[in-house]
Amino acid sequence: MQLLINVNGHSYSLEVRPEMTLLALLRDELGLTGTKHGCDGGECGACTVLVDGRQLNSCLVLALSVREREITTIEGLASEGKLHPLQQAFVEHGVLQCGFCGPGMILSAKAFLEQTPSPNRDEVRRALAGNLCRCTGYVGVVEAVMDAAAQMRDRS
Amino acid sequence: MKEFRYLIPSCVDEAIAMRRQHGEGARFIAGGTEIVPMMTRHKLEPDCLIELSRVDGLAVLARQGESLRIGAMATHATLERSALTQGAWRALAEACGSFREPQVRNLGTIGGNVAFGVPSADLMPPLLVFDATIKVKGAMGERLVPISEFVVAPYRTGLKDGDILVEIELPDAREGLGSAFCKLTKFRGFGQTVTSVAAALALRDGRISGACIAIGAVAPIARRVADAELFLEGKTPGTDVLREAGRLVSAAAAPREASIRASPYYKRKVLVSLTERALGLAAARSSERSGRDS
Repeated sequence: MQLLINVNGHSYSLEVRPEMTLLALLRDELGLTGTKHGCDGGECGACTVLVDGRQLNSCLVLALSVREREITTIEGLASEGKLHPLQQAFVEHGVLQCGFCGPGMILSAKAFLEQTPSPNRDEVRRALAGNLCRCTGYVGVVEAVMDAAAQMRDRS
Repeated sequence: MKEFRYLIPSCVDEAIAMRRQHGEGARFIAGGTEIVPMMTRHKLEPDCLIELSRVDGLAVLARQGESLRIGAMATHATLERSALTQGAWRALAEACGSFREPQVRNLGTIGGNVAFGVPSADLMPPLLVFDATIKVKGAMGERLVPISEFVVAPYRTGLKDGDILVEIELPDAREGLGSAFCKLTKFRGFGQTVTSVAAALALRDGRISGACIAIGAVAPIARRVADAELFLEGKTPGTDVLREAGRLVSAAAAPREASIRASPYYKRKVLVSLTERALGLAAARSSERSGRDS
């Protein structure tokens, strides 16, 4: 079936099979492998992307069901060679070890900070409850998101 | 995932017609949070999926007179945040917010949660205490089913083949109604539900009037606890009274021996405290709301 979709600001018109998930579309058809393939059950959050600005698990979504929507993946965050404040904060705080959970974490945090520009640490933890990290834990993640939030407030 | 056809109806009637045309191999898909992983893991292999998420009229969320109409496609995130669910019906907002993953709250729908008939469905206890009515549409037209009769057994509901759960209606909330939803999960408030309680009550001159209590994940299907409700009528919500109500609720539970979530002994034990907490919160909210109204 025909699918019109916008990914990271680019419009695509593609022929897809109904059984293709958004995750498979992004990784296998568009080559956007920053979105990670984790549990296939909506539990780990590694495949988190933004659909019209809201965080969803792309493994739970059939590609056809998000036709004509705007998708943002981790590849769409940096602009003009400059990292997004969240990405920069993750680097500076040395948050990631294996990095598999990173793209999902960052996108969940982005959707959250747009709704809640001045969060406290508990709110950040709750907002990231759908993104599991199996290496380092969450202390650094929370610090990085708090830091990025402050920078994003200063900027706006 | 096995190959299937994907059909996109534009209205409820068309969806029903498609379901009839394609027969038993066809399934409706709402948010997809349950069935997409089942399909990925080859536990479900439909020939045909009929998309409901963008069907006109299934996403309504509005007051009608004093009652609240909730379209089947309203997401958990919408119901968690809506101004319409922060007053008397707060237990429903709390249940919707109690799913661990924000990603799943953005995708999952109230219709899907109820229509699936899972014993631990978190939205069932609040819908039971609010005496919700389910509007079902099928080949034979429209009918209304009380929530207490909707789920008949684990994974079995009053939906017949080809029926669509269209809407859920919460009737007029009594004056000063306060409600709360409490659940225990394995990981500090997140993860699979071990047991859940919803409570709704109004205080009249400091005494409980019309208490409603429902439990989830501790019986084959979520259910009201009439013994505890009767016991509470006319009583002052003090510590001893709430504890006794908790004991009655716990006694009414029928947890499975083989539950993967917690032992029956543990479920019964925590149910006492969880009920006390839900009732205490509901009572506090009732006085808060009465205070604001007067």
